[in-house]
Amino acid sequence: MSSPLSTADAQRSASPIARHRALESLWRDPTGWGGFAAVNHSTIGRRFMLTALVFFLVGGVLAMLIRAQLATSGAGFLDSETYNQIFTMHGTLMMFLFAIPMLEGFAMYLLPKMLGARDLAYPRLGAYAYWCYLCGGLILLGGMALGLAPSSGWFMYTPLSGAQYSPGVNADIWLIGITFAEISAICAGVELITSILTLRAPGMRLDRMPLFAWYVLVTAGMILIGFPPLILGSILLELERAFGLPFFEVTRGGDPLLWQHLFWMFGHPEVYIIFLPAAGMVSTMIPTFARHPMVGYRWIVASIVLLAVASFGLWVHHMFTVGIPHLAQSFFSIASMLVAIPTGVQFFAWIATLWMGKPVWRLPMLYLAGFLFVFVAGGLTGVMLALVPFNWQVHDTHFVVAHMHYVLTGGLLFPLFAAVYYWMPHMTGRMPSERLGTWSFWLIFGGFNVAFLPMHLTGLLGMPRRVFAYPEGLGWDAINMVSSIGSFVMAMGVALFILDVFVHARIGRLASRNPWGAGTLEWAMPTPAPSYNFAALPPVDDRDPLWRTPGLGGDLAGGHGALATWTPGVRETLAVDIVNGEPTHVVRLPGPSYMPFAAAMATAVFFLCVLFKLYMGAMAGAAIALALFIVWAWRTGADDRTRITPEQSDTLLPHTHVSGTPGVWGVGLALTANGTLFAALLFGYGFLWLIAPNWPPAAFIAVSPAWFAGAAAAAVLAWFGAKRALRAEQRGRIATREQGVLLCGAGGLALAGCMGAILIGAPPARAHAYAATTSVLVGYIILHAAVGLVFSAVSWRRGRSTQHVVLTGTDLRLSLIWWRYVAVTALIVVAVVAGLPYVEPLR
Amino acid sequence: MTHRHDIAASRGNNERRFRFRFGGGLRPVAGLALWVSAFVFLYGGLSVGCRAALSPAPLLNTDSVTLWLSGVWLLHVIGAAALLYASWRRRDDPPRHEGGAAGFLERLTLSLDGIAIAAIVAIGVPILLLPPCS
Repeated sequence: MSSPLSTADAQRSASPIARHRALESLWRDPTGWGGFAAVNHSTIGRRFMLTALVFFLVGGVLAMLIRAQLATSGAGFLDSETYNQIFTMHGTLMMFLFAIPMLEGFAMYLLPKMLGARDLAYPRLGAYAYWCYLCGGLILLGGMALGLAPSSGWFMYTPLSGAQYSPGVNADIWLIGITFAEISAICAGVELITSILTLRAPGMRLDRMPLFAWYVLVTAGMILIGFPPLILGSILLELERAFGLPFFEVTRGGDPLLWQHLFWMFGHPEVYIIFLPAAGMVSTMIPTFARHPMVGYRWIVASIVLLAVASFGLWVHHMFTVGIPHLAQSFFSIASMLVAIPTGVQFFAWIATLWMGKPVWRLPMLYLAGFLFVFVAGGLTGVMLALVPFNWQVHDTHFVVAHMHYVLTGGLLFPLFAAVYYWMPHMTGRMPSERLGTWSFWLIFGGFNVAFLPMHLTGLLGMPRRVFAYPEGLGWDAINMVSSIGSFVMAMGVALFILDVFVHARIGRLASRNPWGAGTLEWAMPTPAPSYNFAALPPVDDRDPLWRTPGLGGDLAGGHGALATWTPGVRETLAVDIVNGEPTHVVRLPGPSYMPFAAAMATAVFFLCVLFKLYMGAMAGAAIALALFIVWAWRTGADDRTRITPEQSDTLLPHTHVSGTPGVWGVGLALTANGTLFAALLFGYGFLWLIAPNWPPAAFIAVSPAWFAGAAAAAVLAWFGAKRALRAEQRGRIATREQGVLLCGAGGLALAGCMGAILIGAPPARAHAYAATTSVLVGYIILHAAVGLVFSAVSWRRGRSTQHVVLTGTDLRLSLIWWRYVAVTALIVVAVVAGLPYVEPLR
Repeated sequence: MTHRHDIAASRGNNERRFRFRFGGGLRPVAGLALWVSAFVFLYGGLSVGCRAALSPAPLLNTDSVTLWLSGVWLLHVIGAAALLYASWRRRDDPPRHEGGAAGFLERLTLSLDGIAIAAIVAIGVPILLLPPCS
């Protein structure tokens, strides 16, 4: 028996309520235990935000313990080891488990709504990212609860974090937990980039995109490039700690400075990864309250891009005191000062927007004003720290602690609290309390400045960071007491803020549909937002569509827009041309699935077994995770069995019928992150060769050149085979396609074999950093060849399956992208490993 | 399934298509990529040059590391100038009033190329002022 809304005509003429019910049943997540299968972006975004809030509160309690300890001179109530664990966990929680996941959560929740889409591009990947984040965070919190928290600082400098000086499991907990959480961030980065570039409302050109989307787009790109160096550093340090491979140990050719480089290649961009989305929120809220479109749209976009690129050229300003030549320091000093310019451009644009408009003073504006003041102060001390001689004077003092907190609290916390108030009606349908919000602002703002402004002075008076006690009589006592009082006042403000949000989310005044009078699309829907976002997707012809068409929300609820009809059981959203915003095809998104949760649990088994050195268990976990990923990939697109019919020639086709699908973007972006990790590994190889003191090694690799030549030839063969298979499939030549896949597989096997022979011929990996880095480079290629073989096997088997009708060769296209990457990296490894003994005399 | 005529109204009819190819898509950040390249080659070249203890060069009464670094710097400045010139010539192609997204990207490219050459010049100036290996 057919449903009353089973035909397109019936769906078009359905009432808004009937349409809402039908779409809600299609898009909503299951409840109860079914929540483990949730994939909807609103649910995942909210989970990220709530979990990050919990980590923030734990980090805040640790901050209170730190300030209680330092309030007076003498030994206080904490011993040095406990204090070390507390400040390490405070930094780790705030930087890795609060700031970035909170902003990712906001982006995941808001972006489809702002862009006029119904979901993100990879709903299951988003769910997997969440579970990975939760598990990584729980590993760290579990370690702390058991008294096994890391204690080497949130930057884990070697040799302090090495096996000799941190013999327990504490440092391993940090390395494993953070790597797990960073995998989550990279998954989220891939998802956000693809979604912003391809899933938007019809007509939303690049120059009509909300600025928040630009900010998140650039930030997600920074995550892909910024996080892999730390993941690599964590892997190398874990290899050193667990297996004795020397990378950072001087006596065997390593260098602790390599860790500092890898950490800060991540660590400095991280500051901007935190700041940029928050600045995106500011750029969204200020035009709303100024009642004026954002001034200098193009210059803001240019500033974001410049800030992102320049932030990768600053990392050495954290290392000015380690003995780098003055000229090199000047490169980084100038770059550090350079970033003040794009930041200033944004500030002037915000001020100009307020100047040009007719500002209205609502609660979020209070926090935005706090942001403008605090962040400018932090930026100014940042320019001071960029000056090398000043940096030498205050390095590792409380001046740096004060600067860092002005930047991060100013650049993140104030915009974030403004954003919570601003979008609270959207998420809950209720308004916050202006009175409680104002009180909490003044407590936070006043407390923060009382806590951290005097800290500049203690720093200038010479008080070092990371000390659990200090003697009296140095002039630090009174200032520290003031700082501690200020921090507790700030904590009261934060508590009041949380109370306000949670209480008024339940009993607050009901919000109207667009309570702040915003111009962006997320307000063109009922509040709290429905799971499908838009009943019909909005046509966009302006940067502020709601200011141009105030009644847009009602029109969309009535089905006036694109994708106003639906196929029962199928979740659909529009894909558009990246630049022009013209609709190109319909993306069919997967519904609720336990697969992300199961895959994350298998990944957790792998990481926990590595942590406790149960390597057989770790291999089992990895094998289960791989099997689950194969099942996950196998099911993707398998239900799109229809061929294109003549009647469909006037329709937008589903993504399985066109090229440039989300899968291609996903693999390309994941390989971008992977390529950065590889580049960081090459940097490490070159760094140790040039800088580490105990080089050259006693022996270089002694392998027949034939193995290197064989590896190079095999890599090219695998690439060629993958290309041949794809071409044959596109031309419908099944037999040639099979030959191509076989050729590719043979090339991949030969590549792994040749690299294995090279690995066997290398000196023992524990002997010297040269042998250790060589082994990691060669092992990297073997691992990638093995994954490539799985890739090829799956695409070959799917191609033969009657369940999957191959129309665009997407599987083989993905396989080709992978093999091309493997071939290029393999050729580089061959050149580097075979060539190093010949260039050694240069050193 | 959505019919094309349902969303036809949302399309701009005076827009040039700007296909997002690898080259076209990354052109706006080409100038900044050159800045990254200058940074890598200057910092890396300085490390290699100082480690290899290149001998003093008789030319221009300076040391060979400074000479090499100046050459690398100059090449990057020339490259950035070429990019800026190319984007300056295309600044009104298509004209501003009908440019749409393509015009936006052209002008964004011009802005970023201008910023890039200034940044490349700025980071290289100390090469002329400081001894390289001390």
